[in-house]
Amino acid sequence: MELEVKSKKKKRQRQRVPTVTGLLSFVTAIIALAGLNIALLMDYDEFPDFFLIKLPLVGLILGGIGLFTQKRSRLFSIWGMFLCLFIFIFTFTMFGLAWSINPKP
Amino acid sequence: MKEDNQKDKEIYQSYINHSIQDFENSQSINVKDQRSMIKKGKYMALITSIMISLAILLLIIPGMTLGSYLYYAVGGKANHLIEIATKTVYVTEPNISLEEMELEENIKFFSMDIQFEVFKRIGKEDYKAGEYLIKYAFDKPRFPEKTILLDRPLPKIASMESNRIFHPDALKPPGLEVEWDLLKKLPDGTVSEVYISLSKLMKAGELEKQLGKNVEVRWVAVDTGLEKKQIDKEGYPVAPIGYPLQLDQTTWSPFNGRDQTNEEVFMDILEFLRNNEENAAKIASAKSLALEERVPYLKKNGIYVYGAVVTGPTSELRKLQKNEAIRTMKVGEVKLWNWK
Repeated sequence: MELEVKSKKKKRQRQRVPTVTGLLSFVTAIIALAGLNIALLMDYDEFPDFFLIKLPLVGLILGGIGLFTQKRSRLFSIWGMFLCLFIFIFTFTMFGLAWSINPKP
Repeated sequence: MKEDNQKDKEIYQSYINHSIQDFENSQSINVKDQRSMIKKGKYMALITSIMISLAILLLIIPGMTLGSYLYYAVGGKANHLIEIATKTVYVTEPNISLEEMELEENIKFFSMDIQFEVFKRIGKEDYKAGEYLIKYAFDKPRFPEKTILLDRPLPKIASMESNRIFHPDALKPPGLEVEWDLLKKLPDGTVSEVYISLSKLMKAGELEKQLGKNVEVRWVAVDTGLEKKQIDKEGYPVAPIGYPLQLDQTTWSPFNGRDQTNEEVFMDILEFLRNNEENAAKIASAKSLALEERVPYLKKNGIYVYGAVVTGPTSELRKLQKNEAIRTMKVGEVKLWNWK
């Protein structure tokens, strides 16, 4: 057995540091999700479009940019995009389901 | 031998020294930078863990809400439960109608509340009789929470003993004669609602003819074979059932007379409730609806009524005392004149 030390190779490895846009996307998605939670817990009557449409849209765009940024971790971008997509799917599914329950004009 | 060992040791030592040299040469990052990198890595790992945990926690409430809506919407479960509740009210509560348009539902975590107002026709006008709140856990209802706004409300637990309509073959409770006196003492400028029990079973149309045009028969109690004994085969007290005799012009009422007569709608409702009897009995606040016995009886013997809820001018209702078809009478609600 030989004691061999690998010399430092300058491979084009993806770093563990996340992209700034990915981080922003994740943070935006968490804020939107927190807003959605508050609206649900408060049984808020008005549609919180800022938290359900605008913020997730921003988060989705930032996540998309983060996803294509080279040499950086895409973890936060993926999470950000996943959460924003979840909020969109939640909003539109809830519209459909709420409409189908007791549908009277 | 000793010399060989010494030589090996030297070779080994030089090899080790060479390796250490190699290792040190390969590390281009100094110790300070390495510490900083580790610190940064730890910090990033912490941030990542916090953010992912936060995201998962924040997904719980929307996830549960979505799950609840899926539970109640897929397959029309909520609509089915609402249908059971409204139809039960029509056939178990005398002279009570509801505005299905105004019914509100509120879905929570795998539970649902439905809330609606009920109305009573006294004279020619509908008066708000109260508000019902029915809470469901999954698809099981609790007893309805009723806010009754009537002067003489029906008892909370429906049974024959506490009822106001009695079968011709059933014992009538003593002291009902005072009800006619009560009606006599009411001023003429009022309209009333009375619960009449008949001396014999008859068809609903025949009853309307008997009572004349100056009063309106709102709801008829139907003989289902159990009213004489007032208990079902298991010995539980049964609640009376019946149906509204007049057409209900409300759009969503099943008794709107568009496709079927009220009698046909009544039979359809009983058949529907028979399949959902547990829920229906809970909503009717009855120990038993005994629809398994009652529906076949009605199919075999037809629909005959033994009592009714009648409304009209108090002066006209007083005249019913002379009508031999009427066995007993109980006064319900009284309102100011509205008989136009």
